[in-house]
Amino acid sequence: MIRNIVIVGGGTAGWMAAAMLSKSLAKSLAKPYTITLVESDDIGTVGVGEATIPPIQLFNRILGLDEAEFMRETQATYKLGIEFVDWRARGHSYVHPFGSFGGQDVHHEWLRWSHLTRDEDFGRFNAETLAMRARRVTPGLNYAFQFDAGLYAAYLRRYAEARGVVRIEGLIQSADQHPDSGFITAVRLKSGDSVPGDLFIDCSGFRGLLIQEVLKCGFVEWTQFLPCDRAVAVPCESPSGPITPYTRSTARDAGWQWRIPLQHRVGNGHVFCSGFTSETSAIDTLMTNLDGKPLKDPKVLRFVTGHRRKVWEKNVVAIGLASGFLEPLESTSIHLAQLGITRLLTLLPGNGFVPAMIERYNLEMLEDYEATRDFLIAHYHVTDRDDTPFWRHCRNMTIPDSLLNRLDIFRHTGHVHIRGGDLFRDASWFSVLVGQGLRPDRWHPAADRLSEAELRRRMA
Amino acid sequence: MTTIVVTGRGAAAWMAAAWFAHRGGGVTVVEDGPAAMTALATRSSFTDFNRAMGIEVVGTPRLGTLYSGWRRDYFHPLGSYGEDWDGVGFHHYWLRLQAGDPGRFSLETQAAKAGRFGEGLTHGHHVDVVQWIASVRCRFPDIEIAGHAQGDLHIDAREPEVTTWTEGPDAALYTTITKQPDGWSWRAPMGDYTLCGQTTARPTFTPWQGKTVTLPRLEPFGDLGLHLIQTAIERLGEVMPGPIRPSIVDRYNADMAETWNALSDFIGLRTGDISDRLKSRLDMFALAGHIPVPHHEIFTEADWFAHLSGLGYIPRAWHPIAGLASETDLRLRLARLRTRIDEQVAAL
Repeated sequence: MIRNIVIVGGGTAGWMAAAMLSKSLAKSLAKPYTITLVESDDIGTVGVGEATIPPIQLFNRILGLDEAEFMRETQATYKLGIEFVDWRARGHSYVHPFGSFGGQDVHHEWLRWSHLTRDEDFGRFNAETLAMRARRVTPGLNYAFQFDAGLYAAYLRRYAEARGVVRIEGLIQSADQHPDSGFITAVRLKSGDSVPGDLFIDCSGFRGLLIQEVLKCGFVEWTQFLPCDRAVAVPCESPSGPITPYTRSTARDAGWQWRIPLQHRVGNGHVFCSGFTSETSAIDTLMTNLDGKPLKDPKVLRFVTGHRRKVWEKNVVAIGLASGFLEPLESTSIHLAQLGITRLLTLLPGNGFVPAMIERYNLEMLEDYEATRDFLIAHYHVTDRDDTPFWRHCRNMTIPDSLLNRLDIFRHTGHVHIRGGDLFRDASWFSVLVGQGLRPDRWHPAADRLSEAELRRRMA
Repeated sequence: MTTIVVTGRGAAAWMAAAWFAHRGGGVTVVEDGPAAMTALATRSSFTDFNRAMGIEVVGTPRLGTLYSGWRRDYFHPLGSYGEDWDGVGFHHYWLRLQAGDPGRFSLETQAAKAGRFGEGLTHGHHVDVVQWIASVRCRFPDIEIAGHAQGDLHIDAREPEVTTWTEGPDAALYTTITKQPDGWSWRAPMGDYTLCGQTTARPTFTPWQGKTVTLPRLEPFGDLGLHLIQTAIERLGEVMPGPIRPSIVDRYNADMAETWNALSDFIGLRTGDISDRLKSRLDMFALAGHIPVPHHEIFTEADWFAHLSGLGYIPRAWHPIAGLASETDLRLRLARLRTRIDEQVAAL
């Protein structure tokens, strides 16, 4: 019977978990129950990705957050997609918008039309891209938010504490385990106190305090596919003029730079590969490419891309960075934390731990990690850039079979293969693959049914 | 133009032939194999499939299937149950209240029960296959029929052997599937008569090899089999006609194997062939009311729920979010759904 839930670590993932569990388990846990979050003021949070994708709306809606209040509290702006600058070639840019172009048959028609007209701009067939260009957010568009992750965590903390979550300030030093099952029974703090629990949510970040340091789940490294291993972040002042309702990602010599406009500032960061550039030069690149005066000193972060071999083991579920890390190229960090939390609710039986559920949870989370990984790799691997050693490496590196298969099908049929639950759908893959310069060698013959005149009229 | 040769006599063969003629291939049908079923029980997806090709499906309307002779008779409706709230499926709310007959929350079930039909219902048809093939040939006169042919892609769409007989007319707006000692039999009201059938052939799935794709072989009569065959044809049609590449074949085979497994489990629920995969699915339902919908699954939560509840799997477990609303509020919402459905049925 689960009565006491302990969340290890605050930060965005920890407080998202605390907020969602305090809201949604309120009626289903046997009473009396407790939800406790242990965090230490001495440990800084990473403040993963400040940009999100549209499912965040569902998360906020289940919590019952008022959108206007949420945006005010987190300095949020609307996001309609991502602009990728210099990724295919220097001077080239394309958009990966939320929303679609009207389905795969339209993709084929566009391929034919584009072949006829030499017009490469697929963005004009997507409402979100047009709105991005006009810098105007209107009702009916697909959107997500860009926000200050630290403020979001603070906002959710107030929410969770109002719903009975107890925050304990302290450093965790060790954990007690059941002698037979190995289940964790309590975490021990530096102060000598111990916090007992039935279910532990590990939101301790890269360390994986319980999932790794205690349960030794192991880590599957993906650096051979996604070689970047450092990021340096710095906020700067907002430029004057209207806020751009999108995130910008600009390719650099050995990585890429993000630009995320918030209400009160612009978040910037440079993700890079230490094998191809030095930290000093990466910081220089970032600082010379800001829209405004820096508001803080740049902060360097080291990471290893990959995931925990198991994200749920015994009575420990790892959420957020404790479960794995994928660079924020497609703003998936907060989403993966969200999925980890909502999936836990779906698969958590009130009265215990069931192997079938734990297996399903691990399977689904790893599928999402792999699908996201493949999508990210495609950005690096499919490119015309060969002007630096880093980009030559990315073009030539070995990629996973799953991605190889998908790219081969697209290259030779124009069809984007997607699976039922894939996070990134056909329109996302189409935007990025075509945007990165992969032009299929044919379109489906079904797109030849229209006469040329009809096709031109339809696309006009 | 890529030439496609389809082997078979029945609906599966002509669905494949029509779809590829529509998608831009040169198609030849080689009529071979056992005589095919002369009736189809379709879902709305078959109507969409035909509409995309400019073919109007003619037949008697069909709102679902009555399964008879199992633990108790139960109805598997087309369409859905109730409404999803806060991203959580209706069945969780139903499980929480153990709210009586789930069919009360299905518009199609209530309409079928009342024998009423009209606009706004999710429905398929009982289709006369001979008539339907005639309409395909009329729409695609270029499809050739030959005793033998060579093509770039061969689609084996032969169907298993079935025994059929006819009975007098029946006004039912649904198919009836009745448990028999060695399987089951079907009844399809066709208007002037009722077509009945039975097969003892075991369903089989063969992977795509070289130039030959064998469609899943199972009676296309039952709407499940038809749905699967249609899915196979649509998946092929995404990448064909065109050059055959290993990446395409591997992908199709892997996807279809997953879909096939899900279908086997769906049928296993009824036959009692509980695979490990199905066992773990049943555990998830029993302990959390959870119905997973894996990639490539062609059935929805509602499809599974119809059979699970019909066969007596009714756990006292549900999604925690379904537990948030007060019981009074939830009962009110369910009562409103029932009233709305009654009003909709009365207006038909």
